[in-house]
Amino acid sequence: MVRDRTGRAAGQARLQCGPTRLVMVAIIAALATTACARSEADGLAEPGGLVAAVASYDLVIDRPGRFMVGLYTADQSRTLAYGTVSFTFAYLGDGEDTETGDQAVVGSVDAGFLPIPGQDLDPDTANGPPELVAGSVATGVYAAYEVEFEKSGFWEVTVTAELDNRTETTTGAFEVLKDSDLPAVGEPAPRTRQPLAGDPDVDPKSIDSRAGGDTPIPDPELHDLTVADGIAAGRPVMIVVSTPTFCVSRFCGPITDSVHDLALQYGDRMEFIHLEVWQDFAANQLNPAAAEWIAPTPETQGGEPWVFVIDADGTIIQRFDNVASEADLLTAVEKLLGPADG
Amino acid sequence: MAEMGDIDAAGDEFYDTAHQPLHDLAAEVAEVDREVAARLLEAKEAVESDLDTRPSGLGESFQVLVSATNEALTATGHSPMPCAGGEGS
Repeated sequence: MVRDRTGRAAGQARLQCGPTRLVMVAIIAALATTACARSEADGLAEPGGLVAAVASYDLVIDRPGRFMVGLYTADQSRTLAYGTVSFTFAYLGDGEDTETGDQAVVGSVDAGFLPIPGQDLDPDTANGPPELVAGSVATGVYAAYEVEFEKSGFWEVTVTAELDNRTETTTGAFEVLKDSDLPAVGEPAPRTRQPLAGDPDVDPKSIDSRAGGDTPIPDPELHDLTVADGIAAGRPVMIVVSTPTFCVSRFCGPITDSVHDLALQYGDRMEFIHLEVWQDFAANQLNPAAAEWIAPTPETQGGEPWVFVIDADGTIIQRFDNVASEADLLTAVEKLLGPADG
Repeated sequence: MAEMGDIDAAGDEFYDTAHQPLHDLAAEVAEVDREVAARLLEAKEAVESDLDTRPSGLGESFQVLVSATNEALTATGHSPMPCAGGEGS
């Protein structure tokens, strides 16, 4: 039962709050109030309306690729999941000579639901019409493939979703770059020599942010070989650049666990490596090894997680920004190796 | 929270109502104090890990999350949350 709902100072709360379900409810209530205030401040508080968050990183002109948008209600209580929606793209301008008249609509594509890892979705439901659901039911983004932008600058995507006999639309803005320094498909993979598990000179938390204190590095199989040595051995490599504890992507999922699962299944035939993003999150220090992949220059706009797939010749043959489903990763591995033995 | 049968439901409730606001709060506080943001994200990760694999640790990890959340709320100019009060479990 709630015995005391009066506000207390933080120090008192530490002493008084019991480890009950009610404590969780208090956290939730306070955060909901905070989120609501923030949403109103951002002009997003339109009950029932959809908000779009562009989930793609490193969009570059003349490079066909995947374009992803996450959709959720303004109060963040539900996400849109399942089925397909449509994306319509319009060019807004280059930021210097912003076009203020009619936006130039470039084209439309269909986009299918792409779940984040760690969910067991019913295929029939997933292939059904879009629905607004709680995040614990389904979470993901909508993805269109082979999307190509011909002009650098600022763009807008209008998302149209048909749900419950009504049409919902929302927009999201994003930037397309002239070029990028991030390792791309077709390029040689950086021969990274990252610190490995067991290195006495390295804080385990900088190997995997979940480690530290009494908690050992969770997936030692992902931390026993450098990228450089894996490539030198002529083995394909899958690299996940992620920070399980400090992930700030709205679409964080257990992608490191997904790669670890593949390592247990296919580790005798290729290498699987995790590069932790942060050497020291509190000090805002990136791991140099991770930076080679996701922030090779100071100007690079960061983003995580990423998964890179490298063939036995050391060439990047596929990469996944932000969201990769278990099916995506498995397909990438089987494309390299064929189906699992047994 | 002490009821093992409630763990899945508690996990869903936590994910649906607290996970993203905690991310948002962490992003906000990271602009002013990354050490506070780090403690908040570590506390959130500990609760989610305990919900998945070590329910017996939830009492302690929730206590830490309460403190970290209050610290972050205060650092960002929000009111600390009201205490839900001490039945314990």
